[in-house]
Amino acid sequence: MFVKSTFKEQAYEYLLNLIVNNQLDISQVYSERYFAEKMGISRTPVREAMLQLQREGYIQIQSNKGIKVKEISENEVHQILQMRIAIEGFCALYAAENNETEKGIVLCRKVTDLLNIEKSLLDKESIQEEFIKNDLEFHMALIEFSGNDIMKESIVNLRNQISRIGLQSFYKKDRMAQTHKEHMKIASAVKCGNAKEAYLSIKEHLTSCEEILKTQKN
Amino acid sequence: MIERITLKMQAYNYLKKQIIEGKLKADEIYTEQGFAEMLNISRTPVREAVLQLAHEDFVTIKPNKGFMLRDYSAKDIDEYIQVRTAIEGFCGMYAADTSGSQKWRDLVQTLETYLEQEKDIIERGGTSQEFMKKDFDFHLAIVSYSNNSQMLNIFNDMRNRIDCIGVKTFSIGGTITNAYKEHIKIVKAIKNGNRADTYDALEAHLDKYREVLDKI
Repeated sequence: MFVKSTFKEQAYEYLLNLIVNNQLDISQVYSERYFAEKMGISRTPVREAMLQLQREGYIQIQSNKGIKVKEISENEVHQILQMRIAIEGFCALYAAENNETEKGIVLCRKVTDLLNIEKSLLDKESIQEEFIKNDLEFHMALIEFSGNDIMKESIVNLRNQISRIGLQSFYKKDRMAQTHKEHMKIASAVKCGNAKEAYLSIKEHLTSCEEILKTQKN
Repeated sequence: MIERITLKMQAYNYLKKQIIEGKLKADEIYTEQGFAEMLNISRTPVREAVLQLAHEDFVTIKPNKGFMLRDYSAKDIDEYIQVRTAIEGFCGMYAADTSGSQKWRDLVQTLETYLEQEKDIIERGGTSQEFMKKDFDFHLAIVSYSNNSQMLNIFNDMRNRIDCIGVKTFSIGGTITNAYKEHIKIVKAIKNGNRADTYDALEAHLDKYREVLDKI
């Protein structure tokens, strides 16, 4: 069944894609008309999409001129990672506490499968895209377990923001192996029902990610 | 253009205040035209304000009719409390982890002052509104410790939503005293630099909202 998305939703996806893939120039101001013409739609849905993107923190609307993509400062990276620790830490803790429920058992199995895939990817070449996908699935599995839609939406936004900085450093061989180790620690704590350890290993993982991002910015 | 954005913000701020203060009725359909006339501005900025409020899940739009106050479900309340637990748990633990620092000392002093003020309110039979104000200050102090503007924004947002469900959380007898006791536990854990106890105390305290909200 095909779901017809509104023009505003299409504009939102289109713009988000450009932003997250760094295809817009940070120093340039882009007008509503520019995107409306590119997409072949009217300005109103473009404006509404822009309002949403501004609320989500991706862009700044400059009255009468257009939009500018927001630059992410080092302090903002830190804040984003702190938010992720708070939310994902909570989710991992919650998953650990519920590891023996029916849903919990399903989650533990899923997480084990994802980590097995991750391990197999380490021995292959040119697997960046797959690794990224798998990493996203791993993190989202823990978040979705909580059933909290606000948290899920929040994390999707936060991850998008981070990916704008560029994730090249994450896909070097030794970093991927390290990521895998950190993921294993998280999974192990969740499976054992060790709530505090689950939280701390999330913190450890995301803190080490922040270190990588810092070196990348410079 | 600039003027229009300001008018939209005016409409937005006004509507949001009405919602948070419980001045809009749950079953009534409101019109943009009605508010435009009341605020003496055109419909467009009001529409944009309503769209933003709809996106932020404060209202739902009824096409061709207007908008209504959003219906909050038990799941919504659950989510708000979980989000607060996540954020406040993080900030509380951060405070406990930095015990011994000047910043930690300042926080402990602030929180102990609030505790004294809460005790005073209870002892002289002050209103639940008074207590709620102190409760807000107490939690805000903990969240502010992280210096994270995103966390502060979300904390305020969650708090607004819980408030606008019309929750007079502490008007149910005995709850103020319990809340006060729970606050004491939280401060004690932060003072001891014990992150696990801090998290547990905050989680237990926030969980109480769920119990109280269930009764409403």
